[in-house]
Amino acid sequence: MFLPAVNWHKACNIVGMFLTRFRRYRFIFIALLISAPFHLFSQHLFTISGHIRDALTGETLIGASIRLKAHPGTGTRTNNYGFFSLTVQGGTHLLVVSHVGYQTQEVSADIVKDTSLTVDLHSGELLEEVVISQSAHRENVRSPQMGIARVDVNEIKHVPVLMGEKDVLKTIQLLPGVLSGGEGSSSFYVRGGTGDQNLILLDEAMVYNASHLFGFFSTFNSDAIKEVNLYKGGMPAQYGGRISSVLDITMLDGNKKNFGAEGGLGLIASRLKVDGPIVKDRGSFMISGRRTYADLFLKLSNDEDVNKSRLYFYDLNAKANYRINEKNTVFLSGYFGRDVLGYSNLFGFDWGNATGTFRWNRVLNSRLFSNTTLVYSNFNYNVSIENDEFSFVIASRIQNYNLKQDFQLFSSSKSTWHFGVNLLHQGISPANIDADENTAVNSLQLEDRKGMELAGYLAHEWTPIDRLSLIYGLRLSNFLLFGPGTFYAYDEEGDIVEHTEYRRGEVVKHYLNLEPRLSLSYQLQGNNSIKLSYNRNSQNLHQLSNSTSSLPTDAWVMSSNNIKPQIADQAALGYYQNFDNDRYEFSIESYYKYMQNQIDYRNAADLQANEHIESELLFGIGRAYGVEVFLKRREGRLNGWLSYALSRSERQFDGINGGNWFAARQDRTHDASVVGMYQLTPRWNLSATFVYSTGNAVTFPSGKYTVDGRTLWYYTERNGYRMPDYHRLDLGATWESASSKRFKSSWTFGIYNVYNRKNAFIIDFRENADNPNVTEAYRIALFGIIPSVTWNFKF
Amino acid sequence: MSCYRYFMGLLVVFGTACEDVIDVDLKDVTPQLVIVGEVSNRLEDQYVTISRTVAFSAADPFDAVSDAEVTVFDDRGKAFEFVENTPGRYQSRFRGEVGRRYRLQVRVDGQTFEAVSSMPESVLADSIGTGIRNVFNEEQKFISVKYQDPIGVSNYYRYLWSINGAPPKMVRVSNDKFTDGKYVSEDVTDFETELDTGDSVSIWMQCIDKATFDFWNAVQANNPGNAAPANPPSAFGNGALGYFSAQAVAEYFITVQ
Repeated sequence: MFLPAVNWHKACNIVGMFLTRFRRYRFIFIALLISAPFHLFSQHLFTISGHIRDALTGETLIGASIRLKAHPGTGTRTNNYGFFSLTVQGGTHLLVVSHVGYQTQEVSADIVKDTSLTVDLHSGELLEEVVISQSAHRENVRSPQMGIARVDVNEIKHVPVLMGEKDVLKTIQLLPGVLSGGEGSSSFYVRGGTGDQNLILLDEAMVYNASHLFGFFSTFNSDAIKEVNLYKGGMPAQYGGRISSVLDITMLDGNKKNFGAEGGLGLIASRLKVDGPIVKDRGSFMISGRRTYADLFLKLSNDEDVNKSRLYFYDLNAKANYRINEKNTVFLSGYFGRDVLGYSNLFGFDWGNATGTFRWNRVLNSRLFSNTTLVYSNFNYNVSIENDEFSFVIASRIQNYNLKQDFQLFSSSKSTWHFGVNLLHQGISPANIDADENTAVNSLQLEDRKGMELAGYLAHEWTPIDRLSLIYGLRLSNFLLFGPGTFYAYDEEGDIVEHTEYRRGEVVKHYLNLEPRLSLSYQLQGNNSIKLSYNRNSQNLHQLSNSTSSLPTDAWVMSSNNIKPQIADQAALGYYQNFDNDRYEFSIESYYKYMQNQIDYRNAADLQANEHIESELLFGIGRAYGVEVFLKRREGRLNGWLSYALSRSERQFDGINGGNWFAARQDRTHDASVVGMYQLTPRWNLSATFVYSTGNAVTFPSGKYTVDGRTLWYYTERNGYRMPDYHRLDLGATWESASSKRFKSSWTFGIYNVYNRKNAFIIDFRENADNPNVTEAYRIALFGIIPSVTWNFKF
Repeated sequence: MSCYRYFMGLLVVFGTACEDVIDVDLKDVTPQLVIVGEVSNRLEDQYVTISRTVAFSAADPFDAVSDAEVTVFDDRGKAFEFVENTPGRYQSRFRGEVGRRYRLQVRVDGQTFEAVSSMPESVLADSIGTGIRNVFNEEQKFISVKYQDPIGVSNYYRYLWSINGAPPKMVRVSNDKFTDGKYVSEDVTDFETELDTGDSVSIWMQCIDKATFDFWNAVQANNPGNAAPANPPSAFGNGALGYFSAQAVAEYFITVQ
């Protein structure tokens, strides 16, 4: 259905080659399989499997812990669908079921055969008497997964943000190793990487452009979100396609027990979410929408041009799930969002993402879980210009179809296998111009590009001895770029050397990448551990932008005869410790990352509607390294965290800076955040955020000269200067108003940039208006002190 | 970058952004040679200016380089010697010819710098007038230059203007990447200059070669949102900055309506 009309003969050859390589490595897989614990075949072992859910809403809980009270080392966690499988000796067991933000529950089970078990947890603080060392609160120390940052959706509610629009992407920027894309920006950089090196998934669908309004708001409406996990390193083998990070966002399934609605009115936007059961306890739905209304004020204008102007964005998230029977559940989820700008009838600009995910969970047996996913994701933009002389439309689209089959085999209480395959079809329609016959602009049709990525992975999560647990795995991916089209080769200067025509479905170029992944933890005592990780990631989709802020019109290209896949190798070492009965969590991680086939641009590169866009690119290498410190108080009236990162990110390109290493723009030596939340009274919650970071590396002129009466700047070094340090304090307060059991409401007040710091967004240079011989530097600060208020309700 | 400008404009309209002059500590670097040469298809003084870059804080941005040996050769081997008439400014009176290839040679401090440029075919405007447009309730006047772009060849244009006898000022460069073979209406305007009824305006429409376009296009593309500002590509080797342009020029006069 979604396969291109490929030249199957050639494609089969490639697949064959892929399998041959795979065969070459199969002995490794066999060796791994043999090493799996044999005792799982023993007579006295039985499997407990099932789901862990929220007692009130029936939402499945991700990453909840289930452990034997008598042997805390024996246990497991729920997967992304809230499913767990734990194999134990027959007999009576006391199981401790826990999850962050939920009351721990003990369940007694008499296990004489394979048993299914569903546990409903109640939200709320931990009960004091529970022995928390066995709880989910220690997973951060015990889990072999390294470089992961989990954002609690409840925390997002309280963290003060610009204009009061709570935002997942802005909250993760407060974690160590994650840098903000700029003032008020929802884009982010992880461990020295660029924005397009982050894999952003919403219910497994790749989101190409995760921001609205040129980056100031993220496309993720927090009302619709259940879980947010960010992998900065040690990515599990099931993820691939980007070299810097994976941000995995899961939407809420919807309340399985009761109908509910919640929403809010804010300065920028209003939100509404409705959810409820389709069939009680079997299926549910969730629909959540958000729209801004700045444009409604434009309508009040008497000026026809202004009141016909458009300026808004909206998001719509929808999800439904249905449990067909004990073993089969299906999910359908989608996202649709759009930004619309327009001035009168003269100019229109709109862009947005659309994603759709269909999933089928199957419990094949009590130890084998399967998930089949079919994903569609699309991003497009349209620009229309209409005036006396011009009438044309520019349109561009990028989309993918992705078929995934994932298995999880819970072979024993100490061993879980993850394996699967993935077939991704990628299509790009570059910016095309469609002009009227009589207008002063020519129509322009650039060739579409099609590619396919075939990937397979195998990973093993294993606890060979009590203190040691590890996840190791391998991802193998083969990227194929297909015709039809004309493909050019360029020399060092970017001039055309040759061109080749390819027929429909012919393979232009392919790249095979083998990506080993390893992450392990060794527990020193109960509450502290050392972790190690290594991962290789590759990337075959690249976004081209030579401006400081990411724009919807930035072009996308795939790996090709000119562009090699970006590859990153990262090694990391860390120390983790919890204090005071796991009330405090501390970690320190250091990493070194080496990046190949990085992309930069020729001077004054033409990246718009350019058939020879690949001739404008330069290729080089990068390195990034640093230390990240994180201390969090998880509970109590005062909670929050401190985060600090010391880091460096550098690039080297033959054609830039005389071939010398230079600082990447997002190289910020120091980056620190303090986030505090304080429950003043049962109805008042106060919060504060302080951020500090070294300024971006930036290119300033080191001199000037005159050409034809015009003063030009003389540049000597790429990114040889620094923007001023950035710092800012935000405050927030939430007041829960008197509520009945049915209806709850609250007010959230916020002040962004409390001490009105003029953080430089841009520093530029100009001739003095009165005396052109005098040149001066000026700064633009985007946001001074900005108050906000939001009213939220829930029933 | 038009949408970038649009967006910055919005922030200013909504009153959140603010702008102020600041001090930035810039490095002092070794001065660099700058050569700018132009040869037109009119019988007039052709100029080559030679200077060095100065520190950003310097009061005078033009640091003249004197006593250079400046010669332009055409592709028939004819040489035009240039004479320094004011410091750093060398001149020679002759008429360039469309379609001919010129080579500029500059000898200074024992080093030789060379660049070549072919004079493109002349494209003439067939109409010039005053245009008015309404932007956010404000009337803005501009000069509209209409011409037929020759089909099948790449054309590069540069516009300069002089308002009420002020020194000529470059407005912009454009090319026919999207308008090849079309009847083009070019709006000559900049953001800083307001035109009033009765202003007398001279417009120079230059047909330039690709290298000169690349130079000026890099200059005009260098807006504050550029992630990696750099020197415009130079026509000269040896690290000298600048360009050499053989250009077909037409001059038009108009009184703003």
